[in-house]
Amino acid sequence: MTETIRPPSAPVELREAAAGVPGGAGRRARRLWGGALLVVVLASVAATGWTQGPLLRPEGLGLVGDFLAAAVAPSTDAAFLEILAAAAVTTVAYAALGTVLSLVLGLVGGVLSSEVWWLEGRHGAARRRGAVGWATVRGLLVLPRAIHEVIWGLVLLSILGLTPLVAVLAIGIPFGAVTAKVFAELLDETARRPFRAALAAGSPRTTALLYALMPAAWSDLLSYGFYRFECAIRSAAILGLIGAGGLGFQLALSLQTLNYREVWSVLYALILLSAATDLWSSAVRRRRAAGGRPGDRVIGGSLVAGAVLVVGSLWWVQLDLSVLTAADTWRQVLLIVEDAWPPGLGTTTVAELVQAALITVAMSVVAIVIAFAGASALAFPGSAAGARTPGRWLVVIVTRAVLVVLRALPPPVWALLFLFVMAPGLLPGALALGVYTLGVLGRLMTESVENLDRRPREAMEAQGVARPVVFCYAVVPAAAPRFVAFGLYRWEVTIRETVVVGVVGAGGLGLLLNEQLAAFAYAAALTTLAAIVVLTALVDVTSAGLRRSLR
Amino acid sequence: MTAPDPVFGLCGVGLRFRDTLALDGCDLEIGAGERVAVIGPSGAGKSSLIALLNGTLAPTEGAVTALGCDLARARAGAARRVRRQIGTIHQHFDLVEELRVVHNVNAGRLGHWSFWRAAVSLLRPQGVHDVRGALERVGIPEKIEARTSTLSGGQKQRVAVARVLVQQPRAILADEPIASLDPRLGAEVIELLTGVSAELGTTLVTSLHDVSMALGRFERIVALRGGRIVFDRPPSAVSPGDVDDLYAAEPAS
Repeated sequence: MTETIRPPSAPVELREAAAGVPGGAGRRARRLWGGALLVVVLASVAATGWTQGPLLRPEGLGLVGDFLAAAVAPSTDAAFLEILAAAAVTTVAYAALGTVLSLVLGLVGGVLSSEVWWLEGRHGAARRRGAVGWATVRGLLVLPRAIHEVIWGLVLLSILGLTPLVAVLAIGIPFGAVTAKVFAELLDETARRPFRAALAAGSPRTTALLYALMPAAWSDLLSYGFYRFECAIRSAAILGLIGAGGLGFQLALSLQTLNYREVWSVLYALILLSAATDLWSSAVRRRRAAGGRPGDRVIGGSLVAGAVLVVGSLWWVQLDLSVLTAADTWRQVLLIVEDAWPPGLGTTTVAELVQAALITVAMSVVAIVIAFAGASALAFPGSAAGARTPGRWLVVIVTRAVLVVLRALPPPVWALLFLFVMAPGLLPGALALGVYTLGVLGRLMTESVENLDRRPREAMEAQGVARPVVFCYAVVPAAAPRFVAFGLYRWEVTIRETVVVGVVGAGGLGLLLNEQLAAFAYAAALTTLAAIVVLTALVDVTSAGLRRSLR
Repeated sequence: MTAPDPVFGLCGVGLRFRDTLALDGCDLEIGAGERVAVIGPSGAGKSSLIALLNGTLAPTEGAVTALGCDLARARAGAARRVRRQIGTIHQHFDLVEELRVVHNVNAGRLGHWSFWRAAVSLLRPQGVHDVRGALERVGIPEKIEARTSTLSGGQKQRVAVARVLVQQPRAILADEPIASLDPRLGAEVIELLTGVSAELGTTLVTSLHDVSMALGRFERIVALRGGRIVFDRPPSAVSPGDVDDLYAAEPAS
C-alpha cells in the first residue's frame, strides 16, 4: 500500500496521453499496427480527391486577396466596435456559465464515477453492489462525452429555440461529463488511507469524502476548471456560428455580407480573447503545479475574479430558466422523440451514410497527418531549452507566435476561410482541422521537448559529438514516443471536431446531421448521431490499442 | 482472565489475498480494559489482524466480532455505530495533509456528526474546546491552527493520538504506531497510549515490531508468525528463547 503521488496539475487528459510512453513490448504487434496505419493514411489521402467538380476555385483567389488585404485594416468603426465588444462579452459570459455548470456536473459525476466512492472499504455483497453502481454511472457518462458541444447545440436549438441557455447547456453538458471523468481520476489517485481511517472510525461515506478526499482533490479540480474555461471560450465562439450569439455569430454575419474588415476585427478579438484566457489559465495551473494553494495570491485572486465573472455573466445574459420547466418545451421534446424513434434513414441512403462516415474518418486522418508533420517540425525550433543566443530566441518567439495564431482560430473558422478558395469537401475540412491541431499539438510537443532529460544530451556533447548527431541520437529517440502518444490523443479529439467543420459545409457526418436537423428529419438524424458515436468509440479503441502497443 | 463478554473475538479466522494466506486459523478473545501487544516478524499478519478488528478488512474464513458485532456481516448503519467506538492509530498517521490540525483532530468524531455539521466545521471549527484539551494532553496545543503538512513525523503521530482522544472510543487499535518515529518519540507515544488506556479503562491492541517495548509496557503478548498465533501469554512468561524462535529466519525450502 504505497502512498499515491499527488497528481501534477497538467490536464489529466494529457497525462493520460503521455502515459503510453516508453517500453519495448511486442514488435509484431507494433509492425501490425504500423502496417494498418499506413494503409489507412494512404487511403485517406487518396480520398481527398472525392469532391464534386474542381478542387480549387480560382475565382476565389481574388476574394482571398481582398480578404488578406483587409488584415492590415480591420474595421475600427465605433458603432461596429461597440457591437463587437458586446459580442465578446456574450462569448465570455457563455463560456463562464458553461464552465460553472460543467464544474458542478463534474463534481457530482466525478464522485459518482470514482472507484473509491463505490468500492473502498466495502466487502462481499456491498462491494458487488458498488461495482454495479460504478459501472452504471460510468456507462451513463460515455454518451454526453462522445457528443461534441456543437451537436449538443444543434439538438438543444431544436428543442429550446434561440435562447442563451442553449449555449450554456451545450458547453456545460459535454464538458461536465469530461470533467467528471477527470475528477474521478483525481479522487482515485488521492491517497486512500485517510479515507479508510475515517471509515474505520465510523464516519459516514459522504463526510469521509469531504474530510479525507476533497481537501487534496478540490484545488486540482479548480485549476482544471480554469483549463476548461480556456476551452469553453473557443466552444462559445463556435456555438455562435450556429446562431447562439456572441463573436461566432458576428463572424458569420460579417462573412455573409463579405465585409472582410469587420471579419478581421472579429478574428483579432477572438485571438486576443483566446490568448488572454490561455495566459490566465496557464498562470493558475503553473502556480498550482508548484504547490500553490487557494491562499496563494495568483490563485486566490483568480478565484475571486472567476466568481465576479460568473455573477457578471449571469447578469449580462439574463438566463431564463423557465424554458426548462415550460410545458411547451417538454411537448417539443416529446414530439421530437416520437419523430426520432425508431431511428431510420429518411431520404438518406445507406450509401450516403457510409460515404459520409468514410469521409469523416479520412478527414480526421489527413488532418492529424498534417498536424503531426507540422508540429514535429516546429517543436524543436519552438523549444526554449538551451536557447542562449538572441538569434535562437528570435526563432523560439516567432515559432511560438505562429503556433498561438494557428490554435487561436477554431476549426470551423479555418474551414470557412479555406472554403473561399476550395470546393466544399474533404480537403478544406482536413486542412482546417490540421492547421488548428498543428497549433495545439505544436504547443504540447514543444513543452515535451523542453521537459526532456538533458543529461544524455549533455553527456554526448561532452564527448565531443557533433550537434546534428547528438540530435539524432539523444533528442529524437527520447521525444518520438511522446510525440506519437500526443498525436494519437489528438486524433481522438480531431474525429470529434470533424463533425464541427462538417456543420459549416466541409462534408462528412457533421454536414449530413446538420442537413437532417434543418429538414426536421429526426429519425435520420438519430441514425447519423449513432454513427458518430460509434465512429468516435472506434477511434478511441484503436488509438488506445496503438498506444498500448507502443508501451 | 478474559471477561465473559469480550471486546474483540476471533473464531477460526482466515484471511486470503488472492493466493497468499495472511491469517490462518486464528482464535483470540480480548476483554475490556486489556492492553495487548501483537508481535511477530514482517509479513506475519499483524497489520491484517488490526484491520480485521476495525472492519477495514473482512475475513475470508471464520468470524470477527467487535463489541459484540460482526462488522463484515452487519448492516452499514449498525457497523458504523460500532466502528465509531473503535479508535485506530496508523503507522503512517493517515492524516489529511491539506487540512489544519483542528480538522484532523475533529475527524475522530465525524461518526457522531451529521454531514452538515461536518461541512460547517470545515469553515468554522466545532468543539474547539475538546480539540484543545486533546492537543494539550499530547503536548502540542500550539499547533491547533497549523497546516498538518507542516508538522514533523512525531507531531503528526501526536495529532493522530489526539484524534483518537476526542473520539472517546471504547477500544483503541494501533498498527505499528511508532515504526515511523525515533526511539525516544516512540516511547513517548506508547507511554501516552498505555496511560490513556489505564486511566479510562479503554482496551488497547497494538502491533509492534519493538519486542522490548511490548514486553515492558503491555500485560499480554500475542505472537504471530506466518499468519498463525504462535503464543499468547503475559510478558513474564515470554522467554528470550520464545522471541528468538519467533524471529528466526525461515528454513530454506
